[in-house]
Amino acid sequence: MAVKQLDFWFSLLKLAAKSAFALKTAFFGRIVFMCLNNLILLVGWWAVFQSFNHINGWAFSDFMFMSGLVIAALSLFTLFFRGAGIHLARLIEFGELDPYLIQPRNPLFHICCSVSDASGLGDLISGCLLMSFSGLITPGNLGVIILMFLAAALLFLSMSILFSSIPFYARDASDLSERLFFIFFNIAGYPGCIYSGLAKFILIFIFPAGVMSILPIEMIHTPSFGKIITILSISVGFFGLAIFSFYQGLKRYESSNHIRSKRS
Amino acid sequence: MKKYLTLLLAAAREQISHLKTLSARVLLMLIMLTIFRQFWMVVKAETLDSQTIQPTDLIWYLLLGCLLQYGRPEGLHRRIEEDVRTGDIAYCLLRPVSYIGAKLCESLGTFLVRLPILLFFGGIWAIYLSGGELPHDFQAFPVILILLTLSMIVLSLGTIFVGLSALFLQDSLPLFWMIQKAEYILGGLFFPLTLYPQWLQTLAMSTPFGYAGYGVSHLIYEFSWISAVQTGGMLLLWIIGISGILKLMYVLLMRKVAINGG
Amino acid sequence: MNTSDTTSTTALCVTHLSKSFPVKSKQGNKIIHAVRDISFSVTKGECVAFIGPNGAGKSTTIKMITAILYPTNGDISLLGMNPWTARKHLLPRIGVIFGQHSQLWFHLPAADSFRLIGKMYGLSNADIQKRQSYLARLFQIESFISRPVRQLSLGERMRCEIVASLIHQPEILFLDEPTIGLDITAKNIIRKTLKKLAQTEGMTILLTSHDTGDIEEICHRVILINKGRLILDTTLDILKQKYITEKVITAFYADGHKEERRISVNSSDLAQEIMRLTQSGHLSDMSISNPPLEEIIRSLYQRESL
Repeated sequence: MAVKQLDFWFSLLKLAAKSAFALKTAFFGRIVFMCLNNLILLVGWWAVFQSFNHINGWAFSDFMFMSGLVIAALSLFTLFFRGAGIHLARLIEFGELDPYLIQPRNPLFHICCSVSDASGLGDLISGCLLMSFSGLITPGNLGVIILMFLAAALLFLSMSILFSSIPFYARDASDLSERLFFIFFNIAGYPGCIYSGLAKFILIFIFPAGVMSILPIEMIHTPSFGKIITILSISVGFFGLAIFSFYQGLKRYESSNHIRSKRS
Repeated sequence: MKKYLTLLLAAAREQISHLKTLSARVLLMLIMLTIFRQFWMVVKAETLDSQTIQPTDLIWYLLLGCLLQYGRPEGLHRRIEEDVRTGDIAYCLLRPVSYIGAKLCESLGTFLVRLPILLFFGGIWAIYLSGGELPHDFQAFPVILILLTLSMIVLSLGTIFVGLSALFLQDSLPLFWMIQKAEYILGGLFFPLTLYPQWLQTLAMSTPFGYAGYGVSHLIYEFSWISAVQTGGMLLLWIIGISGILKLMYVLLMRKVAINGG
Repeated sequence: MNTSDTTSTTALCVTHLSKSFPVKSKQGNKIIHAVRDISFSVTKGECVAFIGPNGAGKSTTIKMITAILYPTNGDISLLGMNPWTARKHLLPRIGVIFGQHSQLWFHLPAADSFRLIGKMYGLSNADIQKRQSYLARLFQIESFISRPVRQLSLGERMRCEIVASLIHQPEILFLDEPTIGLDITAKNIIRKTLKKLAQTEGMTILLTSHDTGDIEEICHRVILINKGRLILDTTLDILKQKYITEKVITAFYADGHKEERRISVNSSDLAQEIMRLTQSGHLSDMSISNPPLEEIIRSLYQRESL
């Protein structure tokens, strides 16, 4: 049975990738535009770091590493679980989960895995380049970096599921879910050095963008066992919360009747 | 003209009816504003550079950028892309209004409802963050609001451009990201352009984003009638220019729809 | 019937099923009773049409039976099991087609989707291939099975949708408006093939449709729902016998014109009317027929809404 399960999930990922590749212009367009997009952002931040040199102890190389980590983590999410974003939110909003509910596979992961976005390849390329050019990777910290990278990817997936579940609870909220995810990603792309006190606490434990933007650089400069455990447990914790909120919402969905008029 | 007004009012009513999402949007804007302000406080404390802009001025500068970002409807490019891809856009030929005009009204209606609300809460928050101070050229605010509406039109036309580009790119999202980043960086929505090296400033001001973002927002602390008129004029020129391009794209699109049957 | 439920021949048994949900409106919160106290049962191999005007509660009922919605009250036994507690065991044995929701991958050939769906139900590659080619032949989709779905016409796509729902050989098939918007050829293929599958595989079919052609071709029993209540549950034959109130007499004349009369079945003027028609010109042909099913159903709806 487990083999058949795996066979199905593998086929699903393969089909999602094949589907992303079906429109060739769009496929390559997404990769190229994504790299350009990251480049524009980098130039902007380079200009800012040029005028201030150091920001609260961070040099431009720290920022490069942080962006690289965030972008590369996002790419894992975009490549394998893109369905967890606006796609899921809209299925819920328009009451179109039904076809997934009558199929004998976990509906949440079925939806998450059923979209793959080629822009993820662009992100993966630019993210890895940024991290390597930052000069902060050493053979000694490579293992920790991979762990932080996976934790960040899991966090993107979790936050996306969490935000996409909002339409279960509020009307017309799919745009809001998308906007929230965008904000989460944006905050994660801001240098983590600017926060202290309450703001830092919130950004680590409540709106955990800081798990990608604050903690990894601290971990690299002053490694400690406690920090890496914090990073990993927050990601796993939010993943649990996301799954919980989706299934709570699904109970609501099942006990109500989603009658929606199509948007004009 | 009257039918566009009706469209505009419909979009406005739609906004008011979704109070929950509207208040969430206000909250998000306040959070983002706080983060930007935090960033600049840190930067300022570090550099102690008298050349940098005063904190109060900066908060209002950032608030204006936020108004442009949060006042516009989300997902406009996606809805247009869907119309293009499904061929639904052909049905719009049957209606006695221009497609682009209708989409612009949708944007404008949304913006005009959101603006006072966002401004009210954003303004209170900005005053709170700056300890009760007002920005240097606060008296110019009415003029700035008019210019901000022009900016909004320029940026919305850009979004419509992104949506219609699905015709050539199969998929408008990548271009949307790029335009969004360009607004962010070249528009100086979050960093005043004066902090950039000269070549980047020149580049930014030669795109529509430079005037739509920095061009309008910086008037809150460096107001002069000359630069206000210049900004307004440039924005109008961009509106005319981009509208022309959109019109052309629309004609191409209709030809394609006519050939392929949608 | 080739399955475990040999003890019972009942495929579906619904008792006192109700569903209500709160709706917020400007006048305050209202409770909408979408389904009120519905009971019926379906034997294995039966083909039943669920009819009723828009908003009558058909879809809500089907959604409750397929474990998508929880009922407020009442019981459902599907293949001898409770849909909510035994969902996992039940899902592989049912198939559902929602007219508007596609389960095919838009940019890929339908065959790719079939393979994935087969794997979802744990079938081996060989089994999927066998079943796919069998169904492809029946529904006549072989010629376009390897073309991306986005290039297919609506009729072609719908046939592929139905094949996708049949890959795992369900014992019960739920169809929601399967032929909506399709041309006559596609409608015919779908109706004939579904009927054939019901006969050869003993598949039970529950279908909602506004198209009386679907109902007449596929089903022999009709359940009419209106405003959440079960109004009528009878066979198609009885429906026609009992609810036909008029006969249609058409007279064709040699000069090419025709005349139509409607006579109430209970009245005794039938002979008189025929006489009158024969005398009013040089008659070339004459027919006496029942009004179409659509008209019968429409008159039932009208009677119900009064």
